[in-house]
Amino acid sequence: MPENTQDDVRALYMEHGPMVRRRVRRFFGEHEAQEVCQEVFVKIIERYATFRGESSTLTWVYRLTTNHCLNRLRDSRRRQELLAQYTTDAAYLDQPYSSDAYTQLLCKQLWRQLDDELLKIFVYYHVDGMTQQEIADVTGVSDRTISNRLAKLAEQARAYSKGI
Amino acid sequence: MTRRDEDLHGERHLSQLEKELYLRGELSRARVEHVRGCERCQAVLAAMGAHDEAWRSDPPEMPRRDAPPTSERAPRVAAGVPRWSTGRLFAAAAGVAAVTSLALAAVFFAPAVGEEGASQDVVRAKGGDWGWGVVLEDAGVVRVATGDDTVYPGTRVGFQVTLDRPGHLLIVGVDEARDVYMCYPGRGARESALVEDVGAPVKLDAAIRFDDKLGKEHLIAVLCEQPVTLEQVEPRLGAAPMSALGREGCEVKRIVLNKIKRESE
Repeated sequence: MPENTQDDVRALYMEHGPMVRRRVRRFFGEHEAQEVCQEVFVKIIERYATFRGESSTLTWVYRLTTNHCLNRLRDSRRRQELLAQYTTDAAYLDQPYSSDAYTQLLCKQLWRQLDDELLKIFVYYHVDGMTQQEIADVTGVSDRTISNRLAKLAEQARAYSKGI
Repeated sequence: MTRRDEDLHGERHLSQLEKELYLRGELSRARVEHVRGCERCQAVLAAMGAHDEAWRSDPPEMPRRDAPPTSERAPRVAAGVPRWSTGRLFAAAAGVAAVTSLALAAVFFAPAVGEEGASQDVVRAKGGDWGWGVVLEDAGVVRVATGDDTVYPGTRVGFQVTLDRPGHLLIVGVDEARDVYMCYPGRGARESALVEDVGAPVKLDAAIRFDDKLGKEHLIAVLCEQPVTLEQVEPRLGAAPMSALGREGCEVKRIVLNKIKRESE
């Protein structure tokens, strides 16, 4: 790694280290989080040379950290546990006929079947509270695509709820 | 359509990414305006800022590309010992908390996960508020416990907490026979563990599985500014209310579950 890149990574570490740790701790316990933070920064070191600055470094690191955490959580039981933790304080659960409630129902029942893309959008929207525009900025896809994906989640939830 | 991060007036609180942007001065002017009028966001941001400051004053060693996995390396410090200066953490957090605590206690975080129907006995709490959640798993089905929830022998129990400041946490259980067992930091532990992460829910490295004894299961979380031992807490566990704990700077939360035999048994 060139020396200037190493300095850049060190600067990234000092600037974003707390954020990465905070992000990782949303998904993992203390013991595992240390190792995951390590993995995230190794990934940053490996990929920083190819970072083209199309988004802010914060957004880039945030996305990379989220993706890494979700990839590590492919185990379905832990995904389900995570969902249970995240969603029980959701105010919209008190509104059984809102589209969010349908989406919630879907995700609760079909969490382990969500593909990676839908899972990421779900986490950004329902867990992180991002707007569709924010999700589009982070993921690098159009807000129209995000809107379509959220609609797909809601639609599947409605279909699922009718089948119950 | 109300989302989880909207307040009662439908105004959207900062998303997690926006909070990070705010701390770096990169948040849009319009959203900064929201922060100016939102005590909840202000409090969370203050706690996060204090935590960041403490981290940067004594950062963990930066990972190297060729570093082996953490599990293969010797631990930096003994278990239970903070990786950064606790004194500095508390100094930074306490300063922030002193400013924000009184006005914000009621609005700091959303209602704690799994606390519906649970009792809460506050001995004395400096600073803002905190929440905890009890996650139950039965036969692959996961849910968050509510007060008087039904559980069974073999039910697996996990925990999460959301803190506004670092604190020393101890979670114990008391069964129908008044037998006390440690849940967090883990079986065999006799003292609280420091939880340093603030501003977002964190999963605890502890899980238990209920035994065969039927009846009430009391799960009790004790959060203190200073370390607390099981011996200090145990004599008071039978007291109601738990305010008899009698320790300053501690706050106690409790949930009661009913353990019954499975119908299939």
